[in-house]
Amino acid sequence: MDDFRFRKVKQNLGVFWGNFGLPLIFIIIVVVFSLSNPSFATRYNILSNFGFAAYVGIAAIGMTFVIMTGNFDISIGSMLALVAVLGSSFMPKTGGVIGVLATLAIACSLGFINGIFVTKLRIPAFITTLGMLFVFRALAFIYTNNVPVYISDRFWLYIGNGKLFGVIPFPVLLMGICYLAAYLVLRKSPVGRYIIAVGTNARAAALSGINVDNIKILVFTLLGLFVGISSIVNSANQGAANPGLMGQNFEFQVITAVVLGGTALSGGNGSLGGSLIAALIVTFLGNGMGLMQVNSYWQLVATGLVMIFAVSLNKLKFYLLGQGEY
Amino acid sequence: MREIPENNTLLSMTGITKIFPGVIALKDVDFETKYGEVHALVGENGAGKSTLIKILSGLYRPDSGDILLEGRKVFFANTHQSQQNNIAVIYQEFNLVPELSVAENIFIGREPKTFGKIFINWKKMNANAKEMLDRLDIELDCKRFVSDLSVAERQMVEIAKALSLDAKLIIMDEPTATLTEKEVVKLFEIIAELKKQGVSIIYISHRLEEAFKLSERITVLRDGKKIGTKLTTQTSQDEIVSMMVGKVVKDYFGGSKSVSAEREVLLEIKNYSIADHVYNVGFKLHKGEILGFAGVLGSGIHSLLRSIYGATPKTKGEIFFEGSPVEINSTKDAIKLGIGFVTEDRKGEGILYDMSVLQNLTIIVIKSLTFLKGLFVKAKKEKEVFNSMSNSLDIKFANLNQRIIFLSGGNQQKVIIGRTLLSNCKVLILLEPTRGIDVGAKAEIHRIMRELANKGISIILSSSELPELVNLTDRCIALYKGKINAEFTRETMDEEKLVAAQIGQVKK
Repeated sequence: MDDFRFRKVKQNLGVFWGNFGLPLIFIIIVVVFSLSNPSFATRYNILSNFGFAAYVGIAAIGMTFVIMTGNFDISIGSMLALVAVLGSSFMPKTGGVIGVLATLAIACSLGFINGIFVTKLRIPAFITTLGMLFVFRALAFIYTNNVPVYISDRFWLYIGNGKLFGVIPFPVLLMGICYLAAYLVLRKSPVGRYIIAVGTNARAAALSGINVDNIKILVFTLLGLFVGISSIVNSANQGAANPGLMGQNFEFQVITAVVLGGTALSGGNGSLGGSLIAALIVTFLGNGMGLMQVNSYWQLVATGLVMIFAVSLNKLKFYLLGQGEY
Repeated sequence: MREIPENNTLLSMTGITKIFPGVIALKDVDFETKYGEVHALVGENGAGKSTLIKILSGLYRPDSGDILLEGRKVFFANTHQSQQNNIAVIYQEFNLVPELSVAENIFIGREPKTFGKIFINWKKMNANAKEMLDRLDIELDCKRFVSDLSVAERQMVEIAKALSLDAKLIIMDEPTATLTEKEVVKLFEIIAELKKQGVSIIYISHRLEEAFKLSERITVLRDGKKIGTKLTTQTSQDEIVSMMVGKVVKDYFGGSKSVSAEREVLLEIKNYSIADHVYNVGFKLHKGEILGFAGVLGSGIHSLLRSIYGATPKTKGEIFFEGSPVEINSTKDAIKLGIGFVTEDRKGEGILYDMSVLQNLTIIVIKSLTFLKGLFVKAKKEKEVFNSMSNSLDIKFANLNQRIIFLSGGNQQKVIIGRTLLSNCKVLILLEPTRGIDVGAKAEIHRIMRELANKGISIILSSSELPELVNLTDRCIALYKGKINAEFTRETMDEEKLVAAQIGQVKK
């Protein structure tokens, strides 16, 4: 075989895989589940799956930013629960819009605290957020005495359960808006440049006059904000904020989505579009397996394997492109 | 001694082409070596030498072309296959395990065994290792740990290891870069010994005189193409240099003029100290002046200049900028005042490797190229700013969205200088601006520096290349152990005095 032509074919495959690999996997998953289970392919199920995907998908935006700067946050599952119990408990007093905004402010401040620990106290992100995983969860228990807070506010409930034109779940719109805004920040604003610069080479960024600590604090805070939105969506879905059950394995699903989406754990440039499609994949996979009555532990096994698989997919792209050297 | 076949050719590479996205690293290159020959491979940085070597060592696979080894067509999918074909590469960074002994390193993975292959036969291994070293006339205790060895000794261990693997071709990449003169002599003796035993050597070096001393033939690469192969006895250094450069580099350092001390002082440093690095240093920088700093490792120059830029904290000291006292606590403060800084560590803290050429250049001013109160970048304005800077510095790239790592070292350096200039600095601090870049780009950077100074920008240049300081600067300060040891004007400085001042002596 002509070696040169072989290389060309390989490179084209690499480019194709880089651009269309994930959507392809998504389509395959949808097709396979549709064929194997008739209740999967209904309009209702597909649309609600897009809605459920917002739960992982919105938080994955923030996680993409954080991972791009070479950090990660495993406290977000506990954060999700704490934000929900705090927000929903004072909601009856403040009411709808103000309550939601206040809840998001709380979420931002929790992310901000993580950012301060990581930058100003120089504690590795793994240690900081592992600690906060326990702290946030415990605070949620203490605050509620382990009693779920039921949600009655209609605005709050609409965020998770509303349907536009009676069809499209509101979380889908919300997720769309979040991704658009994040895209504009990352690709069209100076702040986005700074985030990428800090991720690719923090020392060079510092010499270019960028305050690296502030950028890192900012991305942790943004992650808090997006976790806050996911938290409202999720608690509204369930009709209650449950301090113990909310956000179990959430960090794991979100990090899986981001890594599957093509953002390297070592930092650098990331892909929001990849995170979005990967969030869809993770959600549809869970739903499909659920409908097929796969035991939830086996579902975790599958998701875990997907996470490992995700990294090898990216390696495949670099191998095909012949860029393993870089 | 091994049998040498009739035609005498050990390795022949024909039509080798290697393409990286956006760059043709090698184009249709032919290269061959004979048994027992030292073949020197020379060329500027980015000429394609390392790519060719990486193809031979199995790190890269060529996009087209054939490799014939002893008449057989070979294909290396990985470094292991290259080793199996008796090719050894000795890199500048060694592949030895510091915690193991010399003998263990030589026979790593192939240790002679005893007691049914359970235990290592130390006696035999040490004896074999000694034999290998003896064959090369190297005096070295096999039981010593590699971590205790000097760079030169480690290199010898690598060579012995290659020989024990029955290497027929040894590739040496800048083997003398970190050796002392005495060690170089020893290395040359070893190379002569290897030749006698029929081993071929591809010798890569920036030092042309070494290529002439050692080699039978010299091959010159330039811009990924082979310019020619010459018999060493039938060529001259001048001819090889002109083949390497391709154009005659005129006016190496550009015309220089002395700046009188009457010019206004732009920057003044007083009583400046940095813990354990710099003690009570003070100096003045005039407008449009190129001020040089000379010093060896540990002189404190880099700490001093980084600190003035706000990248590391000072212990005490005052900075006056345009006559008034200023506080610089961060790089942002320095940039705001009009101080620019180009690092000596281009890879580690210069380039933003995941980002495009465009984004690398404009990162420092991106905040000012925006609309809606800094919310969004004006893409058109950004491109204009980029184009005017890249034209004035003559930066070469395929397209502006190309990732910066695909540019040559010289062009990367120009991007970083351009980035700094975009901040409209009045003072430009350059640390080793021409380190690791080729002759042509070097001359261009010297020209750029002189032009900037003529425009009134003051430049602080720290360089370990003394000719650069002597020919380019208006004044030069020598630092020794964190203190100013001597100061020279254009009229009083020469290389000899700078060398002496760097190592703590003061010559009249």
